[in-house]
Amino acid sequence: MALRDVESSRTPHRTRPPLAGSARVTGLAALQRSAGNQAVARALTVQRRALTPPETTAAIAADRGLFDSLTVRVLQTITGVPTAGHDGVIGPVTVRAISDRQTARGLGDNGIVDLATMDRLVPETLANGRPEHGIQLVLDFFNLATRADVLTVRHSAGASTFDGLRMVGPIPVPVFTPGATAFESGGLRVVTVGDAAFTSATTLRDAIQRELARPAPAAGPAAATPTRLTAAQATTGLAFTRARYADERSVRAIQGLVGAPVTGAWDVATIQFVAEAQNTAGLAVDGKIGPITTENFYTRLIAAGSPNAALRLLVDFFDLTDDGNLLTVFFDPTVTALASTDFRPSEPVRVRIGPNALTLPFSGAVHNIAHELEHVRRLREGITTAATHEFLGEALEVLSIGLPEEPLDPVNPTHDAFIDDATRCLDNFLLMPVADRRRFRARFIAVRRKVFQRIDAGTAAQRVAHAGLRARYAAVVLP
Amino acid sequence: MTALVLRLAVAENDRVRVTLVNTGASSVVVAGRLAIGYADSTDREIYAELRDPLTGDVVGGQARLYHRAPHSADDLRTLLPGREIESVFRLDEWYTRPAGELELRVVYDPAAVAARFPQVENVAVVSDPVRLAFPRAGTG
Repeated sequence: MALRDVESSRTPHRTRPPLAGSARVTGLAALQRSAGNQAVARALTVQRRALTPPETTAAIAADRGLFDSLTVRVLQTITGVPTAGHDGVIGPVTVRAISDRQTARGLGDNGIVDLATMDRLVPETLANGRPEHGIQLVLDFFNLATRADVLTVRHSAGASTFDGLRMVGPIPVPVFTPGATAFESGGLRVVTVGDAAFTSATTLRDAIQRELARPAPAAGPAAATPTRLTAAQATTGLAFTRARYADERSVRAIQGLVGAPVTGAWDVATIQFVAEAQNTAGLAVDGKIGPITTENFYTRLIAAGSPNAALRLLVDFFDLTDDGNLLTVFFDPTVTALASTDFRPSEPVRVRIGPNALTLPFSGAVHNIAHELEHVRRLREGITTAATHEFLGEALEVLSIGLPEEPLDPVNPTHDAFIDDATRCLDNFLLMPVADRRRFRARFIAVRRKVFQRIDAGTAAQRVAHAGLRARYAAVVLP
Repeated sequence: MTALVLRLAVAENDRVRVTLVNTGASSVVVAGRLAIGYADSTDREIYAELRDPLTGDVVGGQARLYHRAPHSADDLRTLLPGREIESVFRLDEWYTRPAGELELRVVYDPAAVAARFPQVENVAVVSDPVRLAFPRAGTG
């Protein structure tokens, strides 16, 4: 292929400096022979003009108005901003990267993310194995409303829905749209979009909007509001519960579960339904959704086929934070491990929870998500060593600060009990680079203290069974 | 010398079917879960190696952080002579890789399981390489 074929796919800019003489062309030809057209294109892109200061200022102002911090980090990732610059803030480096990307794609090069730029970026996210980036861009760029009743919008290659028949002349032709929606408790949506939706930003937007517009299943006839609690008790229960559950989706999930009208807002009527559910389950009847009632509701949501709603409850109640680095957390039946997080340091990532996690005891389920969200936070820090991530995730579980304690030993074959966390914590600590062992030395000491406490407090049989692990911890020489 | 053999079949450059076969004359206890992971990770029984077929250099890397329970006694399998077990994983799900030609090997490594269950034959088995070709991206 001739060099001009690479050039012809790019939009010449009137102020772009000319390629500098025959020596440069010869160099590019050599590069093309050795590394291909893509390398040539990259080399040529580097030659593009810089944005002028006024252009940079204008692009920063325009792009800052378009995206939130999480999406900016997605944008910084896919436009090739160096990882140290993945700060979630649109600045000169980011608009320069956008401008470079625009130039390489034959678009205008003003650094402003317009629809044409989005239409090029979104298909590339799928081609590059990062469809979740395309989804995040589209949700934010088009300001699609997903906070109230959407648990996740995620990619699933073959997602589609039969949407009726279309007449082509006299022949009825089935119409399939590239998305699907499953509804969980409280009419909460789990939206999937298929490969075919990623033709452009516009088609992806349309696919998501179509799913957001699907009517939720009609609620059953409203039951009369129970009167288990006095007005004062209900008010107390309301204040308690409101302080612990801040996410509207949690409210909807619980309202759907207990048969209250689904409004997405806490009210005394919902608390009366909660109290009725507590009574039915044999729990203390106070309308307060604390850890015991949360466990009961979590288990019931799983049993009712609402795994994503159940996960939402755990994240909300235990205030499991992600430091703005989580694209989405969702139940994925294809995940064979308990959970899986994209190993992409300095990028926003997804967490997927597998079916085995739903069989864990409550404390294990909480630990499972908390462990993954520790990965999410540490990935934002840019930690690149897998062993360090796993040490930190297991350390969080061992220490259990703000989390329910796990049993010392497993309760079923897929359960990851305290002793398993402690074993893995040590194994990974020993695999960590020395610099990371120094950095997290205090964390290891705290873990070791906790491991000793838990083993020493076990039964005689447990102390014997775990004496080897205790000895391994004791033998660690800290750097 | 072990009688265990690891065979690979790769569909669509992505779906890797791993079959552990007992080719010997006596039974062998194996870590039957055959869960995929990485050479340096825990709670896995198999892992892949991706190499440049020209240089032999390891290429690609770890695509996931995963959380899995340890191999349990329930997952141990006694392979009678001639019997086999299999497992499937998606290469792109678990490994990052460059475009171009690659050689894929899978390693069955039951060392961690054998440390807990001494009846497991503690020997690593490496599959024959399978050559894969992944198209390079366009001209951008």
